[in-house]
Amino acid sequence: MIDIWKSQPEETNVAKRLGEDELYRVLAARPRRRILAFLLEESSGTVDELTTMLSGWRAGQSSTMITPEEHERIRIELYHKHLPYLDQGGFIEFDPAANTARLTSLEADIQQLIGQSIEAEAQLDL
Amino acid sequence: MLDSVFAEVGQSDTRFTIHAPAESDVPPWFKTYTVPVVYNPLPKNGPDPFVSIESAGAFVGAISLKELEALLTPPIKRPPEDAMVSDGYRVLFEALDATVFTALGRKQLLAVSREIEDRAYRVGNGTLRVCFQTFSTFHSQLSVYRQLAADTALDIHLYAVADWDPPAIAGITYHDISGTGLERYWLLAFDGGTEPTNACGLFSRETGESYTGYWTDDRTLLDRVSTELKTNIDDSPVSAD
Repeated sequence: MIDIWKSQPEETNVAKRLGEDELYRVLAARPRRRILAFLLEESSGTVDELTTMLSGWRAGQSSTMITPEEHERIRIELYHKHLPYLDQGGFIEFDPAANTARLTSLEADIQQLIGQSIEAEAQLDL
Repeated sequence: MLDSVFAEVGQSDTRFTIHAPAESDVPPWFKTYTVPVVYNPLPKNGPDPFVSIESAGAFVGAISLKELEALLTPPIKRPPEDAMVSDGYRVLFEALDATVFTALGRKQLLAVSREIEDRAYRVGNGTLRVCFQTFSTFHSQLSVYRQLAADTALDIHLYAVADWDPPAIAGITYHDISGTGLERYWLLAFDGGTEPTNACGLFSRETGESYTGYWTDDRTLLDRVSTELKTNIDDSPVSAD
């Protein structure tokens, strides 16, 4: 369970987002949930750091080596798909020139959801 | 005479980064590698501990810590043949081949030696050079080597201090290394015979109570050591027969 609470918007904003398809579309990708979980604790990160983290996740699932080719695919997807998508959704601020991503505000309910999804993942992989 | 081989091995542009929740999660044996090892703290809701490998600053591979430990526990287990086709494994073993690990006990040495002997046995031909320091140490391995010599076409060369008279065995040539300075090395070098990709070796040096050494698939290294042994021992008049 994530117990770091970022800025909490008003109740109306929370209710509104949870009712929007957009939220679930953004969260409907494991890499994006993992990125948010990372940024909830670290606040910000570089594309390099996030690529390494995602590679580490992949390594834990596959029990084989993550190759430079896979690493590059992860980086490309991160840079061109996941980070822009999270930025558009208002979850993060992505600076493609500086190669950094920073968490903006994330409602308490969504933080909880991400924490639960990571926990559930960990149980799935055992 | 083999000191230069050990010295060279220490230079490498490879770096390991261990990503784990706490620094105490870094396995103690990892810190004994001469390849630089860096620790990076993992956030709480992050992946399981893993190792990322860089060569000259570029990413070359990532593997879970659990899997890496399994790979490196003697007897050395290599992934199945089809997995070895993956660049990632080749890079990992290349990166690790140039590492030196300390504190090998006799049991571990024997376990890794057994792995090399098994490979030589399976290939069934080629040259296997072995140094067990003294012939009396070789005594405990006698039955293994009798079988190796009898069941295969291997050309076996045994280097040791002649503190015991080993029996004549067809296929095994004995070399007395007294006074050569080789006494502190425990070595095995197999050239792979008709299967050069099966070449492998264990090079270690006695340091106090234990051994410092490494195993390798590097054919260039193996050739160098074999050449050193051939020119300085085999071809010199002190060789026993």
